Amino acid sequence: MKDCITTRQTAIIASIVIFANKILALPSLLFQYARGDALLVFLTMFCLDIAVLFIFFALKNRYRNESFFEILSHKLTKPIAILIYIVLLVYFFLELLLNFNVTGVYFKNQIYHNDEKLIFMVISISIFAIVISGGFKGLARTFEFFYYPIILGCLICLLISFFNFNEPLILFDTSFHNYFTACYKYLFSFGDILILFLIMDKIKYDDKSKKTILLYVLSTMGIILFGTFIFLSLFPNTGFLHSNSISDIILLSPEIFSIGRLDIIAVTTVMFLTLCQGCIYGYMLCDLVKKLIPKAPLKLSIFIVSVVFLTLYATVFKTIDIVIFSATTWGIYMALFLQYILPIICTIFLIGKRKKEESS
Amino acid sequence: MKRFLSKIKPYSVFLLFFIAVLMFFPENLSKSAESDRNAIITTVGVDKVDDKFSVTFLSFTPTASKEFVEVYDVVSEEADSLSEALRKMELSLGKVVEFYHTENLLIGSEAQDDIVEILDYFVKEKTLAFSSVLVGTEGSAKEFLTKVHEKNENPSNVITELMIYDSKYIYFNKPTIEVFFSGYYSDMKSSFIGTLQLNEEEASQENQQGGGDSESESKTSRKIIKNTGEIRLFKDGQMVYKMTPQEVTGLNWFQKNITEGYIKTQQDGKVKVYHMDNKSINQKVTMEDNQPIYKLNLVVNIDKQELDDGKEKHIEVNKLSNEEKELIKESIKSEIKSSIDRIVEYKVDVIDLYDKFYRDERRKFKKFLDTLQNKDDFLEKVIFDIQIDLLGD
Amino acid sequence: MFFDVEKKIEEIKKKLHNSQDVASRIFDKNGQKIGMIFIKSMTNETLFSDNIYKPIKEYEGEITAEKLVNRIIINNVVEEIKEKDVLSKVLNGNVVILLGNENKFVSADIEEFIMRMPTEPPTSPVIRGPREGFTEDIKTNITLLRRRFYSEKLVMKDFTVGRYSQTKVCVTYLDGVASKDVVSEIEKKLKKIDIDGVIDAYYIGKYLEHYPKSLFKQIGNAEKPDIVAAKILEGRVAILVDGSPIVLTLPFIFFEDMQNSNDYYTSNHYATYIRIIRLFGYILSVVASGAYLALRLFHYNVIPTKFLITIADTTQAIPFTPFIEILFITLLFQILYEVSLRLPSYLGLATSIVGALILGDTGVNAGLISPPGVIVIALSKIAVYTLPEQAPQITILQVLFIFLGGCFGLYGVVAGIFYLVNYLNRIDSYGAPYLAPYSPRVEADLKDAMIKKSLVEMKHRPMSFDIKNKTRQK
Repeated sequence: MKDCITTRQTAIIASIVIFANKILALPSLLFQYARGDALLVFLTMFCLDIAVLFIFFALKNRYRNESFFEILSHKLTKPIAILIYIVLLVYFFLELLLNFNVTGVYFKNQIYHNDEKLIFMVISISIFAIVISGGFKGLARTFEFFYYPIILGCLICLLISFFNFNEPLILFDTSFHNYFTACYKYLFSFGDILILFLIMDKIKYDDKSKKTILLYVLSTMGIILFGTFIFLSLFPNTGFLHSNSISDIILLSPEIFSIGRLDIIAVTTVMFLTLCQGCIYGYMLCDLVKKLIPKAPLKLSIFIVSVVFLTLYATVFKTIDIVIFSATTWGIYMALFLQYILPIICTIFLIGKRKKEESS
Repeated sequence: MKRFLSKIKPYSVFLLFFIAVLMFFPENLSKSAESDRNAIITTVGVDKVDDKFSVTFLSFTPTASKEFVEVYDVVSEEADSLSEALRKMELSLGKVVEFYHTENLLIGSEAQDDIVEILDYFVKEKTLAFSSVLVGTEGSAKEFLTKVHEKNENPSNVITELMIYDSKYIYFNKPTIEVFFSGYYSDMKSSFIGTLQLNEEEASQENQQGGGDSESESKTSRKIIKNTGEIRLFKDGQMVYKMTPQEVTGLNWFQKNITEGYIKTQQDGKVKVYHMDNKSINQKVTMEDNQPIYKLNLVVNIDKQELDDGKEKHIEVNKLSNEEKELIKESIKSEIKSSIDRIVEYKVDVIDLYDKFYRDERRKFKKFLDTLQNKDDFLEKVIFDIQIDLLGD
Repeated sequence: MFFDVEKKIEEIKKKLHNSQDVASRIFDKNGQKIGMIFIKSMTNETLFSDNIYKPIKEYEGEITAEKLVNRIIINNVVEEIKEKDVLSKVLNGNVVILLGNENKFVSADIEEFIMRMPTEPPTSPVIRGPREGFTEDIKTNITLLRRRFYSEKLVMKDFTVGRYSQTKVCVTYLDGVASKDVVSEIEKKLKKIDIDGVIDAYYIGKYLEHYPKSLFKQIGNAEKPDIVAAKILEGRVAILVDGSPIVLTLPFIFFEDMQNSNDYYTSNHYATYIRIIRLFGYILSVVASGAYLALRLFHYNVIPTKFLITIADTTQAIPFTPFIEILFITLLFQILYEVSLRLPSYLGLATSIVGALILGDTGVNAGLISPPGVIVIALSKIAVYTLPEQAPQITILQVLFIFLGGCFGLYGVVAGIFYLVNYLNRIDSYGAPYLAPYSPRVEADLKDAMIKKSLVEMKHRPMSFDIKNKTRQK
């Protein structure tokens, strides 16, 4: 297996994509529908993600050396696999756009008070292009290097927010309809385990892998849930005003504010996370292009992805509102299919294969 | 072409870096520091005069001084709307106006009716931090700022320090924009702001002529600000009542953070003051027979006593008699009662009783609320059961 | 046919361009012509005259090659050689004796030249521990290493590199510990080197690196035998180069430069603390200037109010923009550094006073540069020397990060760090990942990375690279 990554690196990749925008705008967006029950929304969606993770483990166990594309081609015919991959392409473009826009707005609010979209784009695209062209192994090692500093940054932010912690949030405050609407509307922001399916042929899998990946994924989910808990407890009534959750939970106290803008810790952590996530999504996109156009070299895929992304970013998806609108309308169906229906289809393959083995 | 590409291929990263830097280098090489382009505003005051908004800034002016002297200017502009006033301010300062370093927001008494709109504008449209201290002033914020600035080198520092002190020892909650909004958007729509006023005697006093010492003394004088400990209560964004310091103290009995204070008793014309050096509170809310009951158990540690009587000598042995203890308890209860009466009267639940009932007895409390015409009336129905235990010599 | 000794001597002298330090003796002994040729500046003349010339001249019998080999009493090698080796032997400090009646050549090693004593190298001082340092003589260096391994497992293989310099290179490793693949790759590379001359170990190092054009070094170096011995014990291969006091070691990982020999001769808690300080110093030195510039140009809102007021006040009258100011101060510091390196020590004091006055006082008072700028650049320049081995790299990176911070702000600085780490992750040094044991994470090696555990806990050799015998102690 060329360009393979270790189990630990896989777990870290899964961990990083799970963070996504969940420490920025998402708690505030969910608050608008579900108030304190936004925590339950997170919990529910994470439980679904864990279920999908177990499907991944079973799939990987059964198909140790095959890629996801090969499995789909074999089970569902190649044209359908290509079609699914095209949908995945659109899905990851939207993910990357969402990531860019949300973090762009965050940086604009927190540190770049002028609209420095050009700087953000130039740096991000350059870094992604150079880093992705260096290979997946180098990329995975880079994530491994930054993983603990990122986690440490998040934990420091949560710890500082404890200075202002008063009462825990009130749960079961809204109706089931609101809770369900929140789950449904922001489906796109979850289901990050999908990434693992796409890199399954690059993972060195052994008996301990399941435990390692589960540990990292659960720890990350735990941190996010804890952060959301703190956010909803600190802002029981004003959650909708705070779209930069990780920064806003730090900056509540005038004493801390007078020490300095300690949210620089949050900003730096989010910067590293953005770069890591952008690289992962960028790599996924390049890999998908390569699967669809097998003869295309990596650098050509990077070029195609960069050009398409820049065009979309500069024209159609110029503002965060358009991106969020897309993610909360037609993006939901795409997310539903790719994040949940596709794993269910994989489960059917597994059951089918087992029955075949049993009968033979 | 191929040869050229193959030659530059090993240096592609440097080329990319070079091109990226070249795009931005000329502009940034000639760019001045942001602190020169943007105003450093440490305090903002908002007034409303004849339906016009008047915005006053305390702006730091860099002076290239080697002795690090802080020079502030008070700048004020008036316009029909806040954004117009800020625009005028930018024109007169010649700098971009942002509020990243604004520590205090002063709202003049006339503008307090529009406090929600003002806060909403500054926080959402502009960059005022949620943790900025929110202060109401008696009279005009502009006059307050101007007078304080005359007497203090760093007025915003003084205001912030006073309010931080108040938030720790005087008020029952932090006087910040976030706390205000949290109350405003809660079910009871109750909030408060701290109040500062000018010390009229100091404000009318002329600066003494000559004598470097007296000049520097007046430049750091805090006597200009009268920090009485008063607060203003707001219901649904409208100011309803100005709470006296004693009433504020009464509300502090509900807060576990404020553990120090003084208790005054009067017996036979003698005034005695006792120092409380610690207290612990145990709060419990219950619903009994569809009646909300708030139980507060206070354990107060009395430290020493001070006699305010010219004839009697200071007692060396600090023992409290049963009579004294009863008097202390009565005094505490009466303080609490007067505060509760106020918040009940104006239906301003600044001590989050609604939240406590909702949190601990949600089902029964919801049922109780359904029986009321207006949920704001729930405070009238609450029975306060206050038990006080005194510890100490 | 017997050769003419005189003619042969003349031929050799001609090949050596009749250099004035080439000496010869020709005499008749019982009808036998005997010639001797040697280079005076490379030989021990006393040894020559007392142990070679005089005994031969006074010997009564017939002089043969066999007798010479058996009877010349010196500490070094005396052997019969072929004609093609005469020149190289003479050039290597040997005296070659030509025996006309036998057509034979005998070489005796009486090499001696002026060399430095093994003193403590200035770049690796220790508070406690050995103070010997390598010298420019490979034989001395080999001796210093041998004294640390009284074991037959220490292998020393000789190579000669350089068409004109014919520099001796010695590859040293522990048999049964070092990886055979690494050793054979190094040997292959050394044999492939076709260069006119090797002046310093750095020349050899460049040929051994997998990415010679990279800014970052991929080969370790040390000037002290205790450090090299410790690295050999860890399974590394050491390369000694004649004429250089620097010994190269392979494989190399980045965190080696965070370690210092002091760490191993003192408490491990203190060593951990100091390593963290070094890491902090490294980060500070690389990023501080760029971050400061980014804050001033793009993110003034991050700076606390009181600090901002101080900066705004002190920079108000500066005629330069922040970017130009930082570049100017960096340039000044770099010039000062270069001057202090090159000036003789008695002028060094004057330079420090002038530098301090110009930068610290006059420049600030004249309003050309601001105190915060001076402080930040000074801090970052001083912090470079927490990791002196990485000083050249850090100096370049400082400039790059200034441009990143000045053009793109904090995001540029962070992206720079991200790219830097990614770049380092793509480098490997003879199978060892450059940023091991942190990426990829090698649990066993974390005991001696940033955190240093006690010696008794370090039971295994580094797992980050391929070595045969992983157990260090039981």
